[in-house]
Amino acid sequence: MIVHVDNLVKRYGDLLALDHLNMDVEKGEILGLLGPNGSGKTTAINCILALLQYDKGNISLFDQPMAPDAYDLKRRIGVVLQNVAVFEELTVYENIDYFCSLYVKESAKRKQLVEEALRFVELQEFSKYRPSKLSGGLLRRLNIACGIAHKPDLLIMDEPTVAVDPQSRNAILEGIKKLNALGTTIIYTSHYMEEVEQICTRIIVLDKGKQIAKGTKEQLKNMIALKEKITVEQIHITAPQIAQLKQLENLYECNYQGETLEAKFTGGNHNLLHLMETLQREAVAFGKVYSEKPTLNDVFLEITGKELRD
Amino acid sequence: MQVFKLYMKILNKKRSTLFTYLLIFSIIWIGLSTINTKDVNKANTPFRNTVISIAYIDQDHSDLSRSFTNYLKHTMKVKTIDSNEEALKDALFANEVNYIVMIPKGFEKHFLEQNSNFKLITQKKANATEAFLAEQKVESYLSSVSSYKKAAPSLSYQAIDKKIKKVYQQHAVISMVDQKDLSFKQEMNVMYFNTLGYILLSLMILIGASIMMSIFKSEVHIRTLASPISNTSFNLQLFLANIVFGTGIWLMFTLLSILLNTKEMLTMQGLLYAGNSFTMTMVALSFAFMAANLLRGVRNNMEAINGITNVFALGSCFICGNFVPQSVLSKQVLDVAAFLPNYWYVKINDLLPHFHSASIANWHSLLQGYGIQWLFVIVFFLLGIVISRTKQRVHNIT
Repeated sequence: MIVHVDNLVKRYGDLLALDHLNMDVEKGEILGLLGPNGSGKTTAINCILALLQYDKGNISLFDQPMAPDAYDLKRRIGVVLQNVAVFEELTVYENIDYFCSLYVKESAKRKQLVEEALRFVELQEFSKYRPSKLSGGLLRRLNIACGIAHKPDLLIMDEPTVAVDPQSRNAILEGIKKLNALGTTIIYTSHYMEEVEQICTRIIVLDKGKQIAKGTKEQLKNMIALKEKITVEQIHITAPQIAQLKQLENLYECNYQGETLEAKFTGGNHNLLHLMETLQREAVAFGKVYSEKPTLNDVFLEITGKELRD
Repeated sequence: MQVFKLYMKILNKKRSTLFTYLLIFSIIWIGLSTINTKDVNKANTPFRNTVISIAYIDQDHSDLSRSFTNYLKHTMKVKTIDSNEEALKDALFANEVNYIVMIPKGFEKHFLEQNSNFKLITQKKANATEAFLAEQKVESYLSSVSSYKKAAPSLSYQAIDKKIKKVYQQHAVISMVDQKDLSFKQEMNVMYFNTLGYILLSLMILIGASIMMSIFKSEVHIRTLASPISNTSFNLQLFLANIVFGTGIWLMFTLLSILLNTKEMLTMQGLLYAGNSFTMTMVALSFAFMAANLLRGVRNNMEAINGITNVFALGSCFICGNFVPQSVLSKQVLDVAAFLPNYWYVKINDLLPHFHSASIANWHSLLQGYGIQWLFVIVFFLLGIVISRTKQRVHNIT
């Protein structure tokens, strides 16, 4: 077991930031910690890294108890923080070299590792630049390079793509998948469900410091009733016509608001075809129609009654 | 030694700022030394021996007039000039003489009769200090003769002359409190090291504290805390880097003082000046450490550092006597200043020109000043540690 968190409780005064959190991370997986802002993701990460004191529970890494002075364990961990953590005074190369030097003393080996990290995040041509000269996306890549240069066994990434443009975000996510393929176990926190869905092998959903669900994305989606959501736009429909629609097999919820109809199905096949046939039969005119599989946001919405990004 | 190297790398990146500050401080120092050197010269002027040039014309040729002219010759520089009115005016105008006395015929007779309407005829250079001094000496002599004659009418002028001579041959020794005969070089040394107090404080806070604040910046510090470097090692390396930076700056200014004033600096006093400035360097570093910890997590902390430099460095230097001598500051100001390290630093610098290694009182003052400064070093350092721990506790950091 790479990470084992048992009944972790963390309070900030009266606020319960983590409420009996349990978490296991297996070797080679990418575990996603998903939750809205303030759900306790960063607090959990800081406790795992022994940066924060906690009130109750146990944390062990690589089957050994984690503590502020567990330097042998810290040596095997890489950290990519939510905020870009680099020195403005140093160049890209010097920044990576400094953070790598905290883990690797030998200068020849370090030089090789720094160059590899630069290549990995594709920052070779910017190696002599100061961080202030880099764009937001390049800065994020530098932030990642500083965390991975020493080739950690466990990489903890706390919302590494916040405020990053889509192109850079994709590059970062591809890089994370590549790192994982090379054998690095990763804990990845985010409030972007698409990212977590895209890269994580297993997901823990947090809300108000509490673990509300965990499993693979398929397992999580199976936990809820929704299996298919069909949206019809630019539609004008009457209440009796909606009542006709509600007769459809597997349909459990139908909402009509602002010329948009949203129909939710618990499963079954050909739901879209059946819906279209009913609309044609009722002579209802409509514009765009599309069908979606449930997302993690739907999982979160169904469990907590609120959107992930609320 | 990763943190040590990091400190040096950031210092290297700030070298242009460092040199700019050094240049600014050098200009301030040169400016102050120019002003203070003028003051030193002015301060010495009133205590130089002044030669008063006079001329006299004796038309009386009496015993009194002979004794009087004899007195004038002994106490002032008597010049011979023509006795016509035009020549006398020319001599005054050309600064050949400052004062001219004409002893009219019948002067002795009228003097003995105390005829106040019959006086010496004098001419003097307008607004000249020397002329007033000459006038004072003349009046003083005649007043003394008059007193002797009243007390002992039978006393001859020669006898009176001898008695007066005894009086004017006595000289009063004048010494300035706190400025006993300082040479120009000694004055320069005191001023150099007093100004250095400000330079050290400013540089350590502006450069030292700003480097530490970069290292303490919350995001990078968290990354460092998550790494396998121990807190003790981190702090020791930072401490060592600070000492090296401070010592480097101190060494540079000490070498400069040796270059400027080799003779004075290669003495016991020179060693004590250097020791005092090294102590001040440590005070400045420990204060910078405390300030950097205080400003951890504060937004726009570089502006705050500039504010602290102005308030602490500049403010304390004004009230502690770095720029103006402590002897001209009021007691109330000095009473407040005594709570600041700078006051003791300046006090030692002011003491050193008069320092005698055999004097127990001197050693006592010296060690007291050193001791109090080192106490400030310990207090600032411990306060820095306490602030750091408190901030970590507030943020719940282990």
